[in-house]
Order: sequence, then C-alpha cells, then structure tokens
Amino acid sequence: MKNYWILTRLMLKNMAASMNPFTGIYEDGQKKQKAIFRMLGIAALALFGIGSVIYLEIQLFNFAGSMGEQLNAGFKAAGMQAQFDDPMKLIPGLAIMACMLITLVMGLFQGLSELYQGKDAPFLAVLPLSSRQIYGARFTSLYVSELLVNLLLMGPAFILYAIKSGSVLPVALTAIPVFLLVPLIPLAAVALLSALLMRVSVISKHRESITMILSLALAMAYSIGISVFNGSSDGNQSSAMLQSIMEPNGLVNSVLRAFPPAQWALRGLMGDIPQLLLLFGVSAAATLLVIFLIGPGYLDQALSTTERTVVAHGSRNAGRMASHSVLRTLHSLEWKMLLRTPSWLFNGLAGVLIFPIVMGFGIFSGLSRSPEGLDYIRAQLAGVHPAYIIVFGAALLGFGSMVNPVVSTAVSREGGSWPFALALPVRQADRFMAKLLVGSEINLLCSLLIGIVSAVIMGIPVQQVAAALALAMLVDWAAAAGSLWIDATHPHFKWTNEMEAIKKNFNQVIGMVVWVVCVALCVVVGIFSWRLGPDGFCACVMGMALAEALFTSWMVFAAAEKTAVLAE
Amino acid sequence: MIEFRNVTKVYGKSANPSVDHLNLTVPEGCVYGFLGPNGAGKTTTIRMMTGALRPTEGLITIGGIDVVRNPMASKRQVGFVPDSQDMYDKLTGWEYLNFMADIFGVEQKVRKERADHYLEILEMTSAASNRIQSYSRGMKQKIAVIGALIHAPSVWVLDEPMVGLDPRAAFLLKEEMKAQAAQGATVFFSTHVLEVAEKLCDRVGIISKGRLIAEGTPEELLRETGDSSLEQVFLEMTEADSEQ
Repeated sequence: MKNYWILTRLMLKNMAASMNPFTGIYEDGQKKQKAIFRMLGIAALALFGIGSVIYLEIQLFNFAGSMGEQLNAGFKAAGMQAQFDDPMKLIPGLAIMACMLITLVMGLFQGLSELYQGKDAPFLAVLPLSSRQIYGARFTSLYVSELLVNLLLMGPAFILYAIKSGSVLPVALTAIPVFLLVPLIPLAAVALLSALLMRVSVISKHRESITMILSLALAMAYSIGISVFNGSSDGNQSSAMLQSIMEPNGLVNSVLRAFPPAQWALRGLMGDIPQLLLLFGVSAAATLLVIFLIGPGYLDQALSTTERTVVAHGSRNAGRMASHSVLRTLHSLEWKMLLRTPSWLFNGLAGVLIFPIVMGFGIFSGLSRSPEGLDYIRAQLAGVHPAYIIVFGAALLGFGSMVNPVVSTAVSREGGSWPFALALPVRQADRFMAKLLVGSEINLLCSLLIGIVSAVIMGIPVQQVAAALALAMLVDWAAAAGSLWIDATHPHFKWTNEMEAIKKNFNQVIGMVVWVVCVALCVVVGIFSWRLGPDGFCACVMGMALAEALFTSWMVFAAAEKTAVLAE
Repeated sequence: MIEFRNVTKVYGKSANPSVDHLNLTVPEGCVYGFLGPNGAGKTTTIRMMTGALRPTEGLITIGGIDVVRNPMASKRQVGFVPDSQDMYDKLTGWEYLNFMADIFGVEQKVRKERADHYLEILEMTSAASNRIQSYSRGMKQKIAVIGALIHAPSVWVLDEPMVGLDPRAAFLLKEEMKAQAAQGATVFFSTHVLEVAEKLCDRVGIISKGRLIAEGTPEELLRETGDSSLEQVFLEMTEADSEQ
C-alpha cells in the first residue's frame, strides 16, 4: 500500500508539472522581464478561457432553468401534465449528466492512452511494485484528471444551484461527496472497456486502428442505448420526440434513466442520503472490482503494447519507393505520425469524430421513432431564412474543431526530432502548411459528418449545408492558423510521453481559446450587422471569417522563417 | 568544403559563448574529427552548420554557400546524422528513406538503387519493412546514416555517430565514411572515441569551452605535443585549457 501511495504521488506530481503552463518558462534562457511578461500573458489567457467557460455555463444553466419553467407553462396551457417537478434540478442535473457522459465517451480514449500507452511501463516493470499497485496508481491519476475536468462543469452548477435554492450549507455538504463520487462508476466502466479492447485488439497487427474503431463503435452503441432506454417509457411519441430534441430536461431524464448512478447522484445532491449512500457503495464496489480484476494482469498487457515489434504493411509496401512533392511528403508524414501514435490518434482524431457520430446516432435513433416530430422540425426549419441557417449551421458544423488538438500542438509534438527537421532543406512555410492541412482535413471530416446528418435528417437543402460548411471551414482555418502560430512560437518540446505532447499541453487549451475568440469576433460582427437583414448579416459574418482566416494565415506564415532555427 | 570564419554563438544573454570565434576549413575528400569534452560546443557547432541554429556572429559556408543567407541551397548539400535517437520512429525504414529521398528530390530509380545498396552494406535489408520504433539504437543509427546518404551529399555531418553501435556496425560505418571521402565528399563528425578519430581522420580539431585549441592531422598533433596517442594529446590540452 505504501508503494501505491509513493507511485500515485509521483504520477500526480508529473501530471501537475506537465499541465503547468509556467513549467520551463525560465529554462529557455530568456530575459526575466520577458518571462514575467509571458507568465502574465498565459495567466490572463487561462483566466479568460476558464472565465468564458464558466460564464457560458452559468448562462446555459440559467437558460435551462427558465426554459423548464416556460415549457411547464406551455404544457399546462395545452392541457398536458407539467413535465418538470422542479426546474431548478436542471442545473445540477445537466452538469452531472455532462460529466458522466464526458467520462464515459471521452474517458475511453483517455483511459486507453493513460493506462496502456505510457512509455514508462518497462521502467515501472523492473521496480519492486506489484501490477495491481501500478494499475491502482494509474487509475487514481486518471480519476484526478477527470475530477479536474468535472470541477469546471459541476463547480459552477452546484454553486448556482445552492444559491438559487437558498440552502447553501446543506447543498455544500452533499455536493462534495457527489462531486468526488460522480466520475468513479463511469471510470470503472471505461477501465473495464479499455482492458477488453486491448485484449481484443491484440490479435491484429493494426492494433491502434482496431482499438479506435471499436471505441467509436462503443460510443455509437451507447448513444443508441440511451434512446432505446428512453423509447420504452413514453406513449406519446410526438411529445417524446419534442421533449428529447427541444427540452433540456428531456435529455436529462433520458440519460438519467439510461444511467441510474446519475439519478442517484442528483437525488443525493438534493439531500436524499440513502441514494447518496447507494452511489457511494456502488462506486466503491465498482472501483475495487476493476482494480482487483484487471490489476493483476495489467502490467503484462501494458508491456505487450510497448514490446511489440511493429511490422507495418508487411511485404506489400516493402521496397516500394515513389517520388512525391515536398508538401505531399510532409503532409503524408503528418498523417502517418498521427495515425500511428495511439495517444495522438485517440485524442486527435477519434476524440474529434466522436462528437458528430454520437450526435448523429442519437438524433437519428430518436427521430426514427417519431416521424411526426421530424415533420414538425422540418416545417420549422423551412420557415427560417437560408442566410440564418447558413450562419447558425456553421456554428454547429465548426464546433468539432474547438476540441481538435492536432494543429494547436503540431510543432510541440515534433519533440526531440525538431533539430533534425530543421536541418532538412524544407521551407518552414511548407512544413506549417502540411500541419494546417492535416488539422483542417480532420475538421472538415467532422463538419461533413454533422453536415450530412443535418442534410439527411433535418431536410436542410444541400446548398445551404455546403455554404454553412464553407463558413465553418473559414472560421476553423482561422482558429487553426492562430493556434499553430502560438505553438510554433512557444512550443513545448520537452515531453516524456506522447500524451503530454497533445492532451496535457497547455497550447491545446490556448488553441480552444483562439477558436472561441474567432467565433466571438464573428458573433460581434453578426450583432452589429443584424439590422442589415438576413443577407447582409450573412455577408458580414462571412467577410469577418475571411478576414480572420487571412490575418491568422499571414501571422503563421510570417512567423515561419523566424522559427526556422531553434529558439534560444 | 566547409568553412567557419570567426563564428561565435552566445545563447541568450549568457556571458560565456558556447562557440568562441571559431575558424576552421574542412577540405573536400577529408574525414574530419571534431573532438571535445562534454559541453565544449560540438553539438552547437554542428547545429549551426546544419542551419538549425543561427550564429551570433561570423560566417559559415558549405560548398561556398552561406548557411545563414541561403539556408535551402546549403542544406541540400548536407547529409546529417543527428546524435539523438528522436527521429520519425512511427515510419518504417522504407518509408523513412522514401521521405528523405522526396525531401531531397532524388529520382525514383536512383533512390531505389541507393537504398538497396546501403541497406545491404549496413545489413538492414530485412529490417527495413519494420517501423523504426522497433529498432535497436544501432539500427536506428544505421537507418539515419542511409537516410543521410540517399541524396549522395557532398558534405556528410555526423553527431556522435559511434554511440550505441556494436563493433561490426561501427566498422561498417567507418568504412562507409572512408568510402564517401574517397569519392570526394567532406565528412565531418564529432566523437568521444579518440581511437576512432586517430585511425579514421585525415584531420582533427579539438574544441574546449567553445574555442578551437588544436587542429591538424593526427600525426601533426602527436609531433607537436610529443605524445604517443591522440588520447594523451586530448587529455593534456583540455586539462590545460580547464586550468586556464
């Protein structure tokens, strides 16, 4: 047990150091004033980013609460029963639901990377530590990182609920255990699924691809599962459809029904002690079960992923040499490095594609049970001016790129190979262009999937979807170029494992903020141009997006030659 | 030919230059050994030569081309084998060689011939289909060597090439360095292995605290100091420099 704590402490310290944006700020040998200025800049950016997220959440929770009250009134006016016994529940309910969903879906990729792709497995294997202790320490480290993500969502929601409900102390007493318990059951499920995926994928030499496809399939199965659970509970299909699409509480209920621990957590927060104890008991049992079940064989499994001799393509491509242009060669290199590095593959590609896939399957399976609701939505959308559909559609289509860390960490991921890369006769602009293209192709794929779902299910004309896609790509390009500029001028080369290079790289967070800023600028222009009418509004937003794309492209390519030598 | 004219490198606001007014000429067809204790400035010199670092002052030319003013043309002449094992290890050996050939614009037929030739010489043919991440340190070094030679560079720069190589691989590499120099290429390498430098190099330079403290053929250095081996020359000179 002592060794477990020592190892856990080490892993948590390592995690804190890798996530700390100020780490290594003096190591670059730069002037103290410059370092302080940089620290202040990063702190301001971090505060802006976290503040924006919390502000958006508070607005969303407020909106959800008032929407619940309005819908109740609407249901009563239509002679139907009110669906929400307490609209205030929406705030923590949404937060708990979001946290559990994030842990279940996104945690799977993180779990695979953290538990099975760590490069330190051979090092740990020679230390006097049991496999279970190592697994326990890794699980704890994963749990703490999930808590940090959850804090961003549950923190403001619980505080808001406590203030609005007028019972701050009782809520505070139940909120802390609920916060600590919420990630445990989904995380245990993730750990179990990761172990199963690793066992299944070991049969193939294309292990990473198989693992990624299976994890995407699991996420799809989960989104279908939610609607199946929800489907059997409501006789009135039309209202069920409307509820699942238009009302936040419907979504909350559907997930709560599909995943009882979320219901226990919500009731526990409301002061239902037996439900809280039930959550505690099941969470503890699930965690211990996973650690004792997977723990003993864990190290062998983790070592097998690092020891395996990788024979790619076998004899098919052996000795085949074809010539290509420099840009195509660099572009191909970027894709190969991304696809063949599990942590980058899970977080850079699968983590981005999961959003449209879950959304698509969730909506599709929900709507397939309610054709009347579909007609209603199509009729509503048909009445909206195409210009508005293009602009608001673009916001939806471009959302996936916000969580895309491929471009925002593209230079950092070069790590120790950067000095070698700089010795090659390659224009830095070509290198950056290749990185931008790969990131944009992933964004395009994500947006296309959402676009297809929108066009097929919602019946939005293809021309409008195509225009929305073009607008979304312009904003995404602007954000990608902006975040690449930051990563190129302030890269983090000193990472010890591939997860640190992409997911625990602070430049990724800055990249998200850059995306928010690009979208916010378009929103500001949209507000000022609203009175010009739909076409004028749309043209102004597109103009702003184009200007952003040109400006950030100029920034990144202007910086290219300055970064063609090592930073001192 | 490689030329350093009064080259100095100072990192940031550091008071001590990492490379201090270095003057050096390495002629064509020469195997040049660059020796020095840890932190003497060897890697900094090589990084400036390959264009990864910019000198604070002075001029570096490769084949008469200024490395700073015309980096692309100068880099095209150089084949570089880095000291670290951080290369594109997710590629297979074949993919890596094809990547290097693409970057240097080597014709399809020529690249295949050269790759086959060097893979055979360095006994890497059977491993070339595997990903580099599965290679041992020595194998990684060999594939980096082949990648550097795929475009038949006129200047071959190797940073600590003997580290991690088994005796046979080290022998094969030394033979290849001699062969390249015999064909007229300039071979510049840094090393800690003084026996290798003594036997292999046409000329050697000893750098300490960023300054070139001795330069010439191994025979010249032995004659000047009266020592019996390059190891003794190295120890005496670097020790004397440390005391100063």
